[in-house]
Amino acid sequence: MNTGPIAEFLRQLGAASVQASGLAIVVWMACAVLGRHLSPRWRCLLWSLVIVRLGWPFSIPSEVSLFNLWAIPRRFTPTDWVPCYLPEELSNAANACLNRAWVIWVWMAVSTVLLLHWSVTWYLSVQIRRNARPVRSWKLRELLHQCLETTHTKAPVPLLESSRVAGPCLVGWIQPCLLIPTGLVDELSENELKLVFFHELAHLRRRDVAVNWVLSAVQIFHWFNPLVWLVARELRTAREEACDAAALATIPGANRSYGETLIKMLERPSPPLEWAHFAPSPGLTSMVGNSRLAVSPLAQRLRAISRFRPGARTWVVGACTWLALACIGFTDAEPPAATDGPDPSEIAPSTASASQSEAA
Amino acid sequence: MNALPRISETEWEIMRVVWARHPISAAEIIETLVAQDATWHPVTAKTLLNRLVKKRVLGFDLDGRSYLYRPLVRERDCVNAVSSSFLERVFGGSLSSMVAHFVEHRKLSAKQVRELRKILDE
Repeated sequence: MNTGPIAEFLRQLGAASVQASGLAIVVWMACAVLGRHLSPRWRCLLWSLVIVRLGWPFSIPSEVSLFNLWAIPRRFTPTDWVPCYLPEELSNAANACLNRAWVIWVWMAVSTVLLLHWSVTWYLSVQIRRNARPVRSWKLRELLHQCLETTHTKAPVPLLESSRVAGPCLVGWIQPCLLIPTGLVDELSENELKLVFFHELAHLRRRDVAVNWVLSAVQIFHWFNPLVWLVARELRTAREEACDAAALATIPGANRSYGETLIKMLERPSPPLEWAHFAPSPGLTSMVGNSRLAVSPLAQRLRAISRFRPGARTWVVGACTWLALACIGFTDAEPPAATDGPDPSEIAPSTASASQSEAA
Repeated sequence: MNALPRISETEWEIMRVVWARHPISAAEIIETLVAQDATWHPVTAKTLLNRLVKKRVLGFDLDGRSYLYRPLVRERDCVNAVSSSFLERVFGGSLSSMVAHFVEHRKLSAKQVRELRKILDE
């Protein structure tokens, strides 16, 4: 077996990837079964479990672990951080794979390309922010101020306009600012602008830009796992729905208007992005062009908007599901006892009997 | 999508002056530009004005001996083609992974827009 440090790291990465995939399937089933009982916010938190699992290659062996399904538990070992456990067949397959140097090189090459792509995108966003101008419209600034007060957001959010963004967006993680396309104040009514601002402020409260960074990092490392891309897409969809819900909760009854605003934003001419659909992107949705698949996350979002009703949502279902999945997903199967060493349960009685005979 | 006029960053500066106040003469445009940024050169400004007229973004009327310029397109209809457009063209589509947007922008056909509107009607 190749015991180089990168191979070892990849072994752990692969194990975490496989386990996170198992968790992803369970999360997907939970979302399908619980349906509307699970609010978009809790769906986000459930998918986040998978992302954290991907980024944390260690776990605690336990009897309640999900991954006991593919291992026969021997005995409960003391709580101790151990590297992720994989059943023997998978482990052997992984080792055989990592024995080949080209596998490691391919992983490093693709990860590097993705990292470079991410870096360029980051640089682009910094450029766009730097070239953006403060909004001149007093009406817009006042509207944002009202929205900040309504949502009790303490930190000031600079409002900038740029002709290089297709729609309103929150840029920056340490000092986020709200970027809107030039001319938006003429196209949307006051209520529509408020809805847009509430949506973006929900992103701000949830620190979604930082989450984006974590997602991108996970995708750079786990690019080989197709489920990771699907999980990222689900997380982003659930996140948008959660922000829609937050905006609609602030202005009840504006469902239709909100949906119309969304469609209006889509109909705007966008900056030239001819190559956008061919460039590799950490977000799966950007890779899909004008196919029907591209419309369906939008369709899902619009349906959620038109069905949204404010009022007390039961958080119990979401919280219980999250706790349960965290317990079974973040614990690991108990590794089988080493066949070479003595069985501790056999030792204990003999030491006990030995000590008894000594005492006697 | 119909060919919308593409305006460079410097042409955009001129257009902003015209959109803010029109009809406006070339001299007044140059005066405003120089007041904003002293590096503006009258010859450059006039060249750009001619270019904008050729692009049919600016129209003009003869008032006595000077030309008065007026915009032919609305600000929101203009697409900004900037000098670093290579980066944006290739990587702009993946900006959504870097920002938290209102809606991920994509080109939709009229049919798709109608389908989406139908969902709101349900």
